Amino acid sequence: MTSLVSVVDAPRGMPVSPVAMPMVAVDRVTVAFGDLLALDGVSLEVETGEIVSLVGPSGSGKSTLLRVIAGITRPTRGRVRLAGSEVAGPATFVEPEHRRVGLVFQDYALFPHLTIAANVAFGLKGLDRRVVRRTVGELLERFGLARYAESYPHMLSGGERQRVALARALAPQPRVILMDEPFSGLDSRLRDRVRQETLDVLRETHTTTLVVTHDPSEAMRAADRVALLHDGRLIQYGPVEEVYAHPATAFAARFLSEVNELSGTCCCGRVDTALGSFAAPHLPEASPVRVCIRPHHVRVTDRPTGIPAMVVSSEFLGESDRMMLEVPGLDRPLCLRTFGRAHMAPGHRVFLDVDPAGVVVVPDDDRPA
Amino acid sequence: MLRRPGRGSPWLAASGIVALLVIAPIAALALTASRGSADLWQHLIAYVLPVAVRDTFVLLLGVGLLTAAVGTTMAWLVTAYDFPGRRVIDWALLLPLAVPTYVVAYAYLDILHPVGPVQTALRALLGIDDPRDFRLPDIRSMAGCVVLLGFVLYPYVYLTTRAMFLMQTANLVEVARTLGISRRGVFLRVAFPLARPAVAVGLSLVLLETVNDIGASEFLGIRTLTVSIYATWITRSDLAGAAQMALAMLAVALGVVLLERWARRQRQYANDAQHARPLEPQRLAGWRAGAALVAAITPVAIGFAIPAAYLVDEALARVRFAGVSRVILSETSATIGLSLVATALTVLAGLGVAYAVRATGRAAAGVLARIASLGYAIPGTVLAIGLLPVVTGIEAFVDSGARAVLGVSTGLLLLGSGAALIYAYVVRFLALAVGGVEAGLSRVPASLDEAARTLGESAGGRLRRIHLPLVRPALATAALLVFVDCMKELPATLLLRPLGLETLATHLYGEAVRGTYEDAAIAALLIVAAGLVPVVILARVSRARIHAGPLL
Repeated sequence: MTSLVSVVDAPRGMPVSPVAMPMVAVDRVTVAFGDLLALDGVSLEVETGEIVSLVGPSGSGKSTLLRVIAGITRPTRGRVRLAGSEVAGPATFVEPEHRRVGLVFQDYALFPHLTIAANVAFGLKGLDRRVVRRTVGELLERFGLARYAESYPHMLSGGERQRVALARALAPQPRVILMDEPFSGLDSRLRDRVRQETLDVLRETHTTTLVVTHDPSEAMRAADRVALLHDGRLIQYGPVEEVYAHPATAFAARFLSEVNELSGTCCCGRVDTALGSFAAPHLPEASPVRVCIRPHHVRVTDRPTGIPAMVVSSEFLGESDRMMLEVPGLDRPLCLRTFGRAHMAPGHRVFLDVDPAGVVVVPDDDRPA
Repeated sequence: MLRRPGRGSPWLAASGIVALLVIAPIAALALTASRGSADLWQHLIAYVLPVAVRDTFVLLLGVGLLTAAVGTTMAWLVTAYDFPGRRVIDWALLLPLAVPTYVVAYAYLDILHPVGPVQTALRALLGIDDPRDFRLPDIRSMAGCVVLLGFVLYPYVYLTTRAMFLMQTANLVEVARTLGISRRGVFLRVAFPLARPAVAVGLSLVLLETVNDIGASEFLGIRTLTVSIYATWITRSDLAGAAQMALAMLAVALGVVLLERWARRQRQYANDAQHARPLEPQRLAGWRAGAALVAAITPVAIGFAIPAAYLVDEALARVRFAGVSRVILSETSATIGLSLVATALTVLAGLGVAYAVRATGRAAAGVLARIASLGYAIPGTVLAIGLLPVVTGIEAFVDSGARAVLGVSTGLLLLGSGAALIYAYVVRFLALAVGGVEAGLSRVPASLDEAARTLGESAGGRLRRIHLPLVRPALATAALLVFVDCMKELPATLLLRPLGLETLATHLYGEAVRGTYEDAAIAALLIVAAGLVPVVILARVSRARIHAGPLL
């Protein structure tokens, strides 16, 4: 085996063939626990070196998908391929110990009876002792853990343990790193820093990575692509910006950020609401739709242009104000955010201007056509 | 769900073999019983069984009531009240666990003998010369047997119930008191009802021990099922008859287990008290403190201090008179040798069975583990009667094979070498090892397995590199408990030991039955000393880690 660092630091030749083989290919995977469908026909591909977030509310199946790829959970139906070779399918099942995947757990799952060095060396089997020692040394150095080599897991802080877990997973040069809520055990200040460090290493080493998270902002910050799961189904999969800008469903829009939802009906490619008329280009005629307006895409002015509204309540959030406004024609108050404006007392009359670029029109999940 | 055939099968296969070895004596028992002649059964039904069943039930009832009363009262006393000496009493109440039932009976037979120390002293006090003029009620009676067994077995109830009292949130008790209920009322209306499942667990252990007991009932002249089985086999050489009675006894033991399961169903409500704040004990002062102390010391004195002091005294006198005999030394080494081999095998089998559940994650492995743990409920005598045909069957098979191939007869290979006895020990105490390892493994998070698997480690490698190092303390505790239980075991040892071999327990039994009082006190003292080791461990862990599992 070549030394890890040389593999890691050398610019790994990206596959140049026109049909690059995905590193991870999940093909119509279903996992049933009794009557419960934890995953329902999920398909998704991850390219080599890509970082993908699996995001969704709890119980959406994101962790199950990760465990299916790792080989800990067997799919009831469907196939999983790693680097082109099938690891789970109707006739095959490769046990996790033979898949060459790295798994990082929420609780890190460090072996409590082994030193940090021994933890990192755990997966390096059948190698010359000097090679193991050098590889472990290099990894610990890389993660700034060298001085803890002979310490035990309980002596380290949360952030340090997280790094040990990642170093241990990376040591045997897995084909893909799978991380299950890797940052949720850390307090919020530490979390941003550790996440950034982790992502730096993963990008630098060009490691194919799947990160499970329930936090949409984390999912978008961490990944190249986001896979949004809900009730065992893949709702949307695509580049971060695209998923955010064009959520496929009302659920997706709602999950990724706070939105105001207005019901409407599609008519001649547009939908009319109390807040104006918006384009709905791809939706079928006369179908029920939801118009999702993110709070910071509503501007508020004192000038009498736009839609009149009245302040119901106003909440000071530090950087911004969050206001609830009563708008004629809306049955629920409208939520919006203002930045750097004077505080407005309830009863104050204002005018609204909705930025059409920030409005998303999606099919109505609750009122199917 | 898709499964590649053979996944984890070596572990499952090993587990299956162990379960089969545990089941074999029960199956053989049924088979032997069905072969018994009908007229013999007529005799048993007419003359032996009614008495044996009646005596067994009366004994179970009496011992059950007494241990429940003493165990729960003591548990409440040391958790709800504080008095001088409570810290010591708290663990001293466990000491009778170190005294096997046959030892306590042996000791009290002599202590309370008409010319023994107690009655002699009483007569001297009352100025009576002739033993015929003044006599305490004879200990050799059902009442005597109930009292003796009750005072050595109550710690099972005490231990489980006290753990439950400690787990109960103080809020419940305090709420009850603000609703105008006295401390005593709280015990009856809140604490005890909540602790009922724990009482049931402890009680089931008490009853299984009572069913298992052979020495005490026999010395005290109670014809229980165990004693009748033993007599039917030893004095009549009637294996079928013994097996028929053994089946009846197995039914009794099974009844006890089912009763416990049924009582434990209601456990959920006790588990609600998760974030329990222990009850603040009430300080007692003056005569109340004194009364509490006396009440708490009494069971310790009857169940441990008095018989232990008697054994120490007798043993010292014997050693001063005759030195430590060669016989005792060789019996001690035989006992330790048998126990060591049995312990090693038991722990190994237990580890395999418990780890199979973990490594394969299959329901079948869990079922096999429960089957492998059945032996704990099989009384030693029943087990021995069931094992005999199994062992002789294997012997006949090996013997005919050896004669055909080598031209020599292997004879009584298993019975003669003690292998049969070790087999019995393993079956009987496997539950301790399985339970201990399972408890240890349950504290190893599943994510460690999964992490190790993705790092390329096989099931065997995971056991060696992760689980063994992490469960070593649990394994050591289990081994110790098994070892001591093997040393103390009497009923199966009596029936399965190789001809001429005596363990400390059988030596004691022999002398007690003959009525000779020679080296038996030394043997009894050694057994009690060995029995103290797990009690000390229990005392150390029971406050810290409240656990009422099979580690008892």
